[in-house]
Amino acid sequence: MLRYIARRLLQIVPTLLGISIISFSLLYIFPGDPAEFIVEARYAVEPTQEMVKKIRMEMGLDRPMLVQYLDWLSKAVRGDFGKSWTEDKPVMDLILERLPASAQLFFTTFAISIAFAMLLGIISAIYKDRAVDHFCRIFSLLGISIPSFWLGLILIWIFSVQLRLLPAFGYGGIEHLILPVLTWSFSFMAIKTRFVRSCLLEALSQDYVITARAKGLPERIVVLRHALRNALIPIITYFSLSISHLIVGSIMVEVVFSWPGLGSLLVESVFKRDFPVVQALVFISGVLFVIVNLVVDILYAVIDPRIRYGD
Amino acid sequence: MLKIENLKVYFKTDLGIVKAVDGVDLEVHKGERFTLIGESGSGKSVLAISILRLLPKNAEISGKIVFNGKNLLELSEEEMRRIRGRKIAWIPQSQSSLNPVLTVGFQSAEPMIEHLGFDKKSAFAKVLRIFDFLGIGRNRAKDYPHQFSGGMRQRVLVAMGISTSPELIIADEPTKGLDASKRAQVVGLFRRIEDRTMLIITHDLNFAEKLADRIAVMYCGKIVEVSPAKEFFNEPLHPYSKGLLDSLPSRGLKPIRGFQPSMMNPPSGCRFRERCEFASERCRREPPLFNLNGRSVRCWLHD
Repeated sequence: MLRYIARRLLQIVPTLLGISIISFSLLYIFPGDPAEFIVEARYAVEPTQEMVKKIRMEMGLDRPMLVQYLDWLSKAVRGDFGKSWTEDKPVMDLILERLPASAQLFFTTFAISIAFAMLLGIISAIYKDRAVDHFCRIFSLLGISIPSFWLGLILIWIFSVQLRLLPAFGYGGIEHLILPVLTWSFSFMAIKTRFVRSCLLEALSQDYVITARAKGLPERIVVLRHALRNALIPIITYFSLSISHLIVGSIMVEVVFSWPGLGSLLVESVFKRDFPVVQALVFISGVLFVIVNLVVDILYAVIDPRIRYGD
Repeated sequence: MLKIENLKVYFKTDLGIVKAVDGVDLEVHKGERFTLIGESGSGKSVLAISILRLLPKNAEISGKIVFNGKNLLELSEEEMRRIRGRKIAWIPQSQSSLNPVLTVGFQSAEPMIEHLGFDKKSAFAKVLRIFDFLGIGRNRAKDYPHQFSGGMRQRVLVAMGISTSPELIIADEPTKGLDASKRAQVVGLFRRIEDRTMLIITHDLNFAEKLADRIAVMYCGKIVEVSPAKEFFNEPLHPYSKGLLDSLPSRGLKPIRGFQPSMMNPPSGCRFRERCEFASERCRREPPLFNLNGRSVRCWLHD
């Protein structure tokens, strides 16, 4: 088990390097001269040659790209992503300011969608082709086909504009959280419900389920202990892969609900061409994704003994 | 102990009705090893699993399965559940019948925890004793099925089956997928538990010969012969039984001509008549099960 974890840790090093290279080179992939962006971003004037030159020297943009990259990377791993171009603050401070809002939205949505996807998926599988199953099917079909920005706007119109029950935007109490979480989890859990259902049905059709029933175990134990534990292996893969989808989706939900999180920070920074912030956000989300994958791989080994003893 | 009367199991499929078991009568006496033999697809496994009422949902079952005086087909699901694994144990085929994510020790302990009210610890202790008895090795109880060979998995399934001291054990193809030396070990394994009443389903005639007290032959959803094992192997009564024995390598390796007919619309009359060398005009009528001093056979030759 420890060897397995150690090996997975070693394997993520090249991935992390790749992520850092891509994040760093965003600055140069974007057409135009970074120094000109800085002048525009900082002083909001048409850049002159002199200003550009001065900035280049000041920011070290005249050094070879590899040196710049290594310099950036060595600071980045210590959590220093430089200063924002538009605000007189370190990038890290900007990110930390916005992080709690995003984390709150993210974890609430993730927990609620997974809980409901599991619950509805299991119910659908047990009552396959019965009324509950059909209801769940319609429900997920709606969730898959309704775009979340549209759903968000409709929910705002119903609950904020018409019924005046909930705030349309802003951040703070639970009442602010309800609409964004509802919008976001509705689409996020839709496909997952179907996926849980089909994985569980697949597991229920296996021979070991007949063995479990032949032992006279109650159906609840047959489903939860014997079938679901096996079904969890593909379910966990799918859920964790969809975390990136959740991160991307957060951007839209945060914009629709004016949620002061990292998603809206990213959008603002892209519009303001505040590249250090963009670089930092891309890098951090990439690293987060790698860490999530690592945790999932370890989780696998906990659930599936064939992986645990594979090496 | 177990008496099956006119049992019919039909499967509704998109292509038509598959008559997997079509009017079976048989009786398993206490203490005997009753072996049901037949080709793949003759309905023998369906018959076995219908005793535990674990058939898929598209199956229609009729007739009577009387176990200790109670017709199992009339019991509620909950009453049936208390019989499964407690009074009637099922020893499935070994290949994929163990749950890959649970330890073999725990899987073997489950019936005792469920039916006998054992706590985990004492159930595990008893599992270790049974593992010892069956030659599995105590240290392997915490291992997972993928760490076992096919033969060892079969032992685990036997351990699971006998753990609650059931009154009847149904074993489904215990030698399927095992090579010859492993098959011999399974014979030894079943000899160790031979004091129990068993219904063994197999297409392995050598295995049947070594273990069975009585043999029933199933062909195309019907029982065609029931005989004491010794007499069966010395002098089979039904032409199909004879064909089966003649197709053994040790007895000349002569295959039965033709193929097993479709279970959707089996031939009228005797279902074996199209492949039978003794077939005559009267075989167009369905033969009844004739009784001949302790043996029974479904063939007009013995009228």
